[in-house]
Amino acid sequence: MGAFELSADEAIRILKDDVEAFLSDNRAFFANQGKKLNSYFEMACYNHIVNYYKKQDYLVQVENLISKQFRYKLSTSGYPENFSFFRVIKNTTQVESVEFEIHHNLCIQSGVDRTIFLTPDIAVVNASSIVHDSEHYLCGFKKKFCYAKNEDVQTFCEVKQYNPFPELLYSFMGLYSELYPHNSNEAETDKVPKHIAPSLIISGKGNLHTDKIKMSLESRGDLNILFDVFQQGKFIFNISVSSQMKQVYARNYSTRTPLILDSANVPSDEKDELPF
Amino acid sequence: MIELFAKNLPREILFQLTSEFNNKMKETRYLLGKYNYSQLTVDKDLNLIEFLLALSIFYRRVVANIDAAAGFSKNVFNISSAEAIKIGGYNLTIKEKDRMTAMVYKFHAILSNNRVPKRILEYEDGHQFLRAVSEYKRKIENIN
Repeated sequence: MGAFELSADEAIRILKDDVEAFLSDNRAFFANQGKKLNSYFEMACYNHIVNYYKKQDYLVQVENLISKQFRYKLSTSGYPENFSFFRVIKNTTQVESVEFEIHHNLCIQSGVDRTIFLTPDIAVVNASSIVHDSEHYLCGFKKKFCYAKNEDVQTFCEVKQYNPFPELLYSFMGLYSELYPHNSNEAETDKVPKHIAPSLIISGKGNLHTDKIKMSLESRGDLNILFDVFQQGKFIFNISVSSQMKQVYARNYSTRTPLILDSANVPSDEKDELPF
Repeated sequence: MIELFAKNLPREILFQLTSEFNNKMKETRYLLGKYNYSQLTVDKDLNLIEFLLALSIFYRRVVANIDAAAGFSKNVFNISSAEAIKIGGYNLTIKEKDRMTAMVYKFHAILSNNRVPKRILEYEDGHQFLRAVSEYKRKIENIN
């Protein structure tokens, strides 16, 4: 019987049956995936940041694969050398290139008090800039402390899988003022690479009040507060519409000899397609 | 109704889904009592509204997240020789990524085949959700 011969009640019943069958067919899969669901939104945002650089003609490389595995840093604990990250490289002129690293859960030194360290979800730092400090902890303690110096931090993002609410937005301002106490958008040349300004990325949609707070906070510094990234992420981070987002000039970065692009390393068009 | 979607998920997620569903149902009942959504009445359509609300929460909390993980892994597999992504004790392999993609595709195919508009999943507030449900009901009644 075709759908056009069904009553509305029948059509709704078929929808319910289809969904129930889908849930039943995939029940083991959902049971298996359930515990990891909360990590996946952070992964999506990590992916958006990487794609942002890809769209700005950076060559993106995955670094530090371990046993052919990309080790995703789930929490703040663990040494960075035991986890994988992304390196982005771009030839800025014919004689120089720039290189940055995109890390997840990397500890960052405060820009206000050098003895304080915070861990935003995603950080973009100068290449090979992670400090391994074996004297950070008390004497006799073998554990070392790994972090990026504040001056090596280009930008950072904090990811929250919530609907926005006032206290959440204001708590980001504490992180922002500690990790990014300077405004870097002074007159620079076009040759200086840009990054997404420090951003709070929130999955849920705002309401009238949180939209007002967002506008107010964004007017106070080089920062973005991005709502509805669940649904709109691929549009928000697309370079063609990045006017929605503030960008900041890179600082304290060093240049290197230009990268000779090996055609085998350049992703094909098919590979370059956004995954969402 | 949300139990139908959440019964195979871990307790923590079940709790999140149930809590969100109960809160949204409270708001929905309030809106239905206060405003007129041409095609909808509490008595007649509560079951449909509950089902679609549970479906939308399941999409946002589960399907969209799995889609995101598939997207991330696709990116990593495309630009490196990685064969898996290790997330804590779990290995997200190429095969698993393909399974995730297929699952998401199937979910969207069910909605598309049953003419459920994306607005039912992507509403900003309860008011928009009820308008989308009302429109959906009108559409299937007119078609059929």
